[in-house]
Amino acid sequence: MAVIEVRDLHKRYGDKVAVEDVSFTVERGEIFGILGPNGAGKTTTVECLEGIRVPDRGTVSVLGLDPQRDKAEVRQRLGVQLQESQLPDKLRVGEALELYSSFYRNPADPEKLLTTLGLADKRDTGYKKLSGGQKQRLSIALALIGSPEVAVLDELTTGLDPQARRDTWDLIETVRDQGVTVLLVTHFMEEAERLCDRIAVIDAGRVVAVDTPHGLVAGVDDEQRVRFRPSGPIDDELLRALPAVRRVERHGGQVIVTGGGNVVAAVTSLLARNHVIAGELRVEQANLDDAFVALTGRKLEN
Amino acid sequence: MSALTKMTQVEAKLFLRDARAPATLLGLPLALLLVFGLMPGVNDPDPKYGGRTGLAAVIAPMSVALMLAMLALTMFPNVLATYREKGVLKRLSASPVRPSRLLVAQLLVSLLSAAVVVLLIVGVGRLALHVELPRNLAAFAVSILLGTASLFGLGLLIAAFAPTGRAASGIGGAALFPLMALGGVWVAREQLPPLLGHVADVLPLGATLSSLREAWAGNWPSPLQLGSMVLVAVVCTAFAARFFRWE
Repeated sequence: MAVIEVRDLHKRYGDKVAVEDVSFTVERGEIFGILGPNGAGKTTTVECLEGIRVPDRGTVSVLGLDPQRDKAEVRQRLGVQLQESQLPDKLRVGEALELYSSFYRNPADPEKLLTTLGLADKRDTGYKKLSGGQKQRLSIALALIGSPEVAVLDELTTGLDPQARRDTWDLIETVRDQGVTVLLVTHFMEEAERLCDRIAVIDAGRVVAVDTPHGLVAGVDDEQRVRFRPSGPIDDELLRALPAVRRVERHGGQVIVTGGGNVVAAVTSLLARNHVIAGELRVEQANLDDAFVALTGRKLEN
Repeated sequence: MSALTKMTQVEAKLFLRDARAPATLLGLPLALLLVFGLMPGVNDPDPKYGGRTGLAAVIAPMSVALMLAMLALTMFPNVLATYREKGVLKRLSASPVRPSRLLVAQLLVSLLSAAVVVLLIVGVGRLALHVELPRNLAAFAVSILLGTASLFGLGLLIAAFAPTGRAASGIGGAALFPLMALGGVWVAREQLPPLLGHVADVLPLGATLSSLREAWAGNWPSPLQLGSMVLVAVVCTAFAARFFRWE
């Protein structure tokens, strides 16, 4: 059964269309990513799921419920981490969790959550005195305090240093392993690639693709690039004559050969036959970045 | 425990934890009372006030009215606007509890602290300075109630329009000056020209102060003073409810 279903969602603010046409479904137990540049309509989309915004057109369903009609029930079962929402400066970590646990029918154990999130020794620390990573972990704790079936996490690693970011990723996997379906909003390729079972790529308010990270990359191209510095002269025409090769370029002393799946083997055996050694040999494969460029025609700026 | 009870508890803790607000709230009116209380003659029967003392006729009611105005116009809107600015209210709106509950919790904390300070002003005045108690206690209670309603209504309106917490206290502070000048704080109401005297009866701080003075003297406030407080409370709250944004 689909946990989240979004069909033909459309939302505008005044003249500005934030979400043009978004549809996707999220299955129980998966980590589903919404990936796209800033301003693509990611946050508006999830805010419609959370019931904070009313869609202009289209249907949204969470756990079979309508976030507008069944507001109270959806909010009991959907945990939320908002982008850029803070807590009062002097509110202590333990107090925040206790406060939010009083909102839910079936709250999780605050002590256990504090331990899981590595905040146990910060229980009596005020919000203002927490580091960025600690604040982020507290906001994840608040998203989980109601024992939700689904957690929506919006840009949860923005502004974190690389170590804190990796720790947060491990945490999200733990959360999923406990049976929580996770909807992750991000503009970090690496995050989407590492965490998500499936990804919806959103650009300018539209879904341009929904697939696994591997499927997105494979769907774009099987292209590989081989870069090397030849030890002796090698004729471009010989390289171009290889069936696997599509393009040959030279940058200074470097040769860059682009081609299909077996281009590496083809090029290296040709060089061997001509007694040329490939120095500084590097093979580059298409990654999610290339997939994004191919899908949207531009780079995902971080 | 219900969410509202828990929220009110937390808001009370936060209010007390930020030592400045309670200190100002308590310190300013008491200092006003004590400093004036030490001036010669102020505690003697004065024919100017119909044989009552200056402390009971002017200073004690003024301490109460100024405390209420400060709390309602600067501190209360500051907290609410800060909560909106920081996304505290938006975060709540994604939880099962409506963000309006936080507003109610904050209001309860403010009203409770106002009640404590009123009792302290009257109590300290009585015990330390022998200021007489309000002669008409029913009128005193009604004046406090309506004065609080009108001043907090205005505070809510400020909170509805101020984009940030800092802006809210700025607007509140700026509003306080004309309300004091025209409300019989700097120049007593009876020394104002008749037209300005009516203005003082209508503006929320002036109406509160005049009503409290009447109650202290044993009278009932005039219908104009009571009516204007009700009107300000209703109109401001309605506008605030219409324009208040949670984010």
